[in-house]
Amino acid sequence: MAENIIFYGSSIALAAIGLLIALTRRNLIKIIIGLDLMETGVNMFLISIGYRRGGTAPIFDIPLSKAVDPVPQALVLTAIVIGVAVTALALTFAVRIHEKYGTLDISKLREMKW
Amino acid sequence: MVSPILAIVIPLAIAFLMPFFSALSRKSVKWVFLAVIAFNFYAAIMTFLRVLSGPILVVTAGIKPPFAINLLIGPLGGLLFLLFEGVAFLYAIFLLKAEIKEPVHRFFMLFLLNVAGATGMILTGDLFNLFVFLEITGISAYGLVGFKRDKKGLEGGVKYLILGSVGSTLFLLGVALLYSQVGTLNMADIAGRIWMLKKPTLYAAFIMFLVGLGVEAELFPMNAWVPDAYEGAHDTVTAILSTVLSKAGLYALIRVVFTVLSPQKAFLDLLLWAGLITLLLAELSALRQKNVKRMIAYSSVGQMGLVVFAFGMGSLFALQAALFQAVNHVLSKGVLFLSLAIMGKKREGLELENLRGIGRELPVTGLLFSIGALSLLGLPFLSGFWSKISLLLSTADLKLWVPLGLVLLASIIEAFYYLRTIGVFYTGTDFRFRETAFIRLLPVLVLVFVILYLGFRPGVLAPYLKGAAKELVDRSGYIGWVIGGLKP
Repeated sequence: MAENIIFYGSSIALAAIGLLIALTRRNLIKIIIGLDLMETGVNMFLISIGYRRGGTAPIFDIPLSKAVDPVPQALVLTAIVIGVAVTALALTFAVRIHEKYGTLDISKLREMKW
Repeated sequence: MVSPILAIVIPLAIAFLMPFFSALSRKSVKWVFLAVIAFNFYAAIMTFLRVLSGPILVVTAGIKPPFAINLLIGPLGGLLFLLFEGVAFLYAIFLLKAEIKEPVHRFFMLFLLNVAGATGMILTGDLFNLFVFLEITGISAYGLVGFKRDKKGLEGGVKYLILGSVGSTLFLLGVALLYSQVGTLNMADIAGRIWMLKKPTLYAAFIMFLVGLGVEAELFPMNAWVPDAYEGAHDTVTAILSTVLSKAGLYALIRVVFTVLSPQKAFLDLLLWAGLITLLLAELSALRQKNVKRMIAYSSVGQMGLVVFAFGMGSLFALQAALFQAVNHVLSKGVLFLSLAIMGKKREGLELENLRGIGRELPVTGLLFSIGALSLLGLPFLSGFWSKISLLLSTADLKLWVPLGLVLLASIIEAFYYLRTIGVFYTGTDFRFRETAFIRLLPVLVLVFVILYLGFRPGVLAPYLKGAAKELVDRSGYIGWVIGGLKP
């Protein structure tokens, strides 16, 4: 397990950077990039959970000790699809907001402040 | 006998067939929508009746859990299932006469996806499956909020989208963390092996779930999207966000905390205080609002805070009170948002000043709004009274005097602004009688009828609430249902 520490650390760091970008930037496009980085970080974390050094795809004729864990890979496949949908919708919002407001700065969206 | 899984599969399938129905006949879309929701309601009633004699386990792919995804409907799931589909059915009737921006079939498509996702969230027994349904619900809700494509809708939608996807990514991280330690995704299986986790990992997972699901459950500080999204969205969308969606997020949160992670003292305390802070801040903000819809949105956040606070107390009596309060919140907010939608059609804008005298112009709607608001405030002989009194009694039971005082303070603030609103509705000199179509009043009437009925006979609901609360407290029972081989 110890050899995976570097994968865990770097993937969590990537997710943390993405979170920081998403929460502190004001430009909508940068926020969307931040969300994407965060998702990628979490996906890499999932993959590294199932990683086994020198392992291969879990097909029947391979001894179980050599196979990587297939479940995280299935999860990541689903998570990637969901991530694409979210990004596409977010970009659609960005286009519409640019049309209506003429800016992508979300701190300028103040139609409803009290 | 209808398998509960159909209540997820059929709306999902029909949602993607909506363009086809729209091409056949543009008018058919809303009837197809109504039919699907009616089917869901029927499935919910049937499931609810079956759950009375014991929990239901549904397996997929013909393999026993924990090796395949399963649905598990216990007393809690059955109660929420019935509540969700019943309310959604009323909204579907309300939507028959609503003005919806083109393309109408896409609106109904998103709405169906939303209902399917929320249903899935309360029925599934698999943590990753819960994540998928969370995302289905979330993405369709972002689309619904922004559907009007005007400035307000886009602003609310994009704020919801940013916070919502941060939240669900954190939720996924929590799932990954649990999987890395116990090697399974089945909720009951994880619950049985939660002792394998070291304390720091368990706490980290809890924080991920609290923040991730706190977005949907409207907990401070992840609820910044709520007022904007509620104000910007179509009226019926606001209603479903406030009633069904927030409860689905809440359900996921308490299911994870109580069943999967085991309710540690620290977790419950955090829930209790998070709920209290949410309640107080939301009620104070609501006091300052000039727009009635935005005010009710803040009140909705406050009520969610109150419910989470009650769950944080953790005693069986408190859990029953929390569930009862959640049911009442669904009923009251359904009434408030729908009757506000009717009023909005008659006046320009929903600022409080614009609505002066609306209670005389629309006497029935005004009365229904008032009953909904008074039930929320806990006026005796309305349904909200019983849940609030049992909530306060359970707080006193645990000798939590400071929280009790704060809850009472919040209730007084809430009473003040609701009574002020009702007061404005009944002043002014406009006596023109212009009541709306009966079909639009019908859903509101049904909800008010339920409020009145439960107000006079609160005991009707008690055994179901007790069963649901017991399900949350009794972890080994839940594990036994899934792993122990309940006959599917």
